[in-house]
Amino acid sequence: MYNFLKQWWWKVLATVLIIYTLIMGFLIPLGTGIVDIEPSKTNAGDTVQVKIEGYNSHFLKGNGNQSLGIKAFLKNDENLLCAASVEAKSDRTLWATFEIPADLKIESKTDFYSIVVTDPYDGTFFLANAFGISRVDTSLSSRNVSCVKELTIEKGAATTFPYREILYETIRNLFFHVPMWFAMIAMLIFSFGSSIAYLNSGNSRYDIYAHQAVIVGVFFGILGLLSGMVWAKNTWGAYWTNDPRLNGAAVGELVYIAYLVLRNSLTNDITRSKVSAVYNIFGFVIYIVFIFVVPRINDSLHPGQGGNPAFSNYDLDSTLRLVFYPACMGFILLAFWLSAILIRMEIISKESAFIDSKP
Amino acid sequence: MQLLKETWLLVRKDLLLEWRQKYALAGVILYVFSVVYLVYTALSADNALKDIEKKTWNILFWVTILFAAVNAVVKSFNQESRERYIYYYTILDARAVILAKLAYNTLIMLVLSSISSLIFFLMIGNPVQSPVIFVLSLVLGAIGFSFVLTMLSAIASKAGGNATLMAILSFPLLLPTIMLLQKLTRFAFLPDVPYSSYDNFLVSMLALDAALAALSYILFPYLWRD
Repeated sequence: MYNFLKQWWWKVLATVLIIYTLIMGFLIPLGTGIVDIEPSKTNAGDTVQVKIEGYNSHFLKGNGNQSLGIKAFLKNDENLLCAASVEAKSDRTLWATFEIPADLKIESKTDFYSIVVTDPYDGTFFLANAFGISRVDTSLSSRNVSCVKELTIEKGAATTFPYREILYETIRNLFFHVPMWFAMIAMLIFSFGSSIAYLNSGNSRYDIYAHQAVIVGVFFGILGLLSGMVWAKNTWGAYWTNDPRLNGAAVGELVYIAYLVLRNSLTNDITRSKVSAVYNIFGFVIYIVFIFVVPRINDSLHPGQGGNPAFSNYDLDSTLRLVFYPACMGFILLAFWLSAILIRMEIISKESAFIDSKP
Repeated sequence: MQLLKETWLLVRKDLLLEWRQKYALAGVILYVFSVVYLVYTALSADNALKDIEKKTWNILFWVTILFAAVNAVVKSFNQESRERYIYYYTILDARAVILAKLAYNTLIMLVLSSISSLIFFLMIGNPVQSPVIFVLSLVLGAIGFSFVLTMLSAIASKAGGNATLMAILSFPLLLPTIMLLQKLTRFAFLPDVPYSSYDNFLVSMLALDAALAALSYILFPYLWRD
């Protein structure tokens, strides 16, 4: 292990991966989406001109003023209405005219339709359940409407991150918030393994590994909490919520800060090494049980839990993965690098203290 | 066989000590009574005792048990003189020592939690409608608390049996136990709960207790050999 920690090739790899993460994570643009539409409701039978405000859209790209190939739809589970005409005013604004049939079948008083736009350059994007159609005259017989134009899901030409409501640009935090936890868990596993090795061999070098790895793990845990809190404020509306993942993170920090306090409270070197190794193993197992069992019992606001879609559902063309996997690898290696520096400093200071103590 | 014999002897020694001194258990029960009385007077001052919610009852109950448990178990490894522990060290197997402590502390916790629930029933009210589930959660809780706290009191005793250290070491590690117990106890407040609705918590709790026992058994010899 020590030989691996002293090698340099994986540190170069860590640097390259983190620089790659920073560049790609911030420079790849977000995909196209719809920010707002105006008006957002109408009555059946009306002809309505809807102003669609796009985000990162290129309505004029390659088309001049012709809006060639841009199609707009109103869609719900049963009906598909298409725009009679579409006109692009700028790259960000699109006017779509819909003729709503008077005998459109309406389930409830007002039905909500998603507005879907297909653009040859940007692909298909939509704003879900944004447009309400109400029925004034209930005496008419009703029918389902389906458009002649076909709605096909097309991929945009550019490489982009998925555009999601609520998340918007904060989706980039995925490359920084999540790898912090992976780096922390990697450090805690490293520390756990070192503590087992210490109890088996009694070699004090393993005790130094375990201690320094916990310091780096706690550091990455705090970074994970901070990056998560900022993200939570932006998307969930509060810095802290009673979420099993957050409880798990808080408990982890408490367990390992208690480990550091325990080390400081013991003065005899060998007792300290042994006792803290025992606590480290005991705490790690309970902590792992806690973070893997409890989120399965309580619902979480985190993606992929409690009915929330996981990020993998958004990532249809794997652009997120393209940056996310290198980011995880990079930050885990960075954590090992940090711990390697701390370990070598600690070993040198122990050795020099030993040399100084000789007459 | 030798191991079990030693364990039994140690448990008997601890029980005998407790019987002669009548200090630890009596002290902790008085402690529980004081806490419950404090809660009782605080609640009745606000006329809140009548309509206390089951949720509140649940939380108060387990928090009281938690503090009582820490107080009951913290002395496990430094109530006798240091010389006597050295004597034990020369004649006993470390695994027998931890097994005996686990068994004894579980026994103490069982007595303690049954008496606490009696005091709660008397003073704050009895919301329990499915006694079987309540007793199950009491037993599993006693086991869980005593397993975590016994090991941690062994660790804290190495640092001079500091009570603050015991608290900061044990509370985060007791959180999973408390959360599972609270979930399980909630079912005790409903009549006729089918087994399938709480078996998840029951199995998790059993698994956690088993893992704690195994860890204590494996790790304690390293602490004892000092």
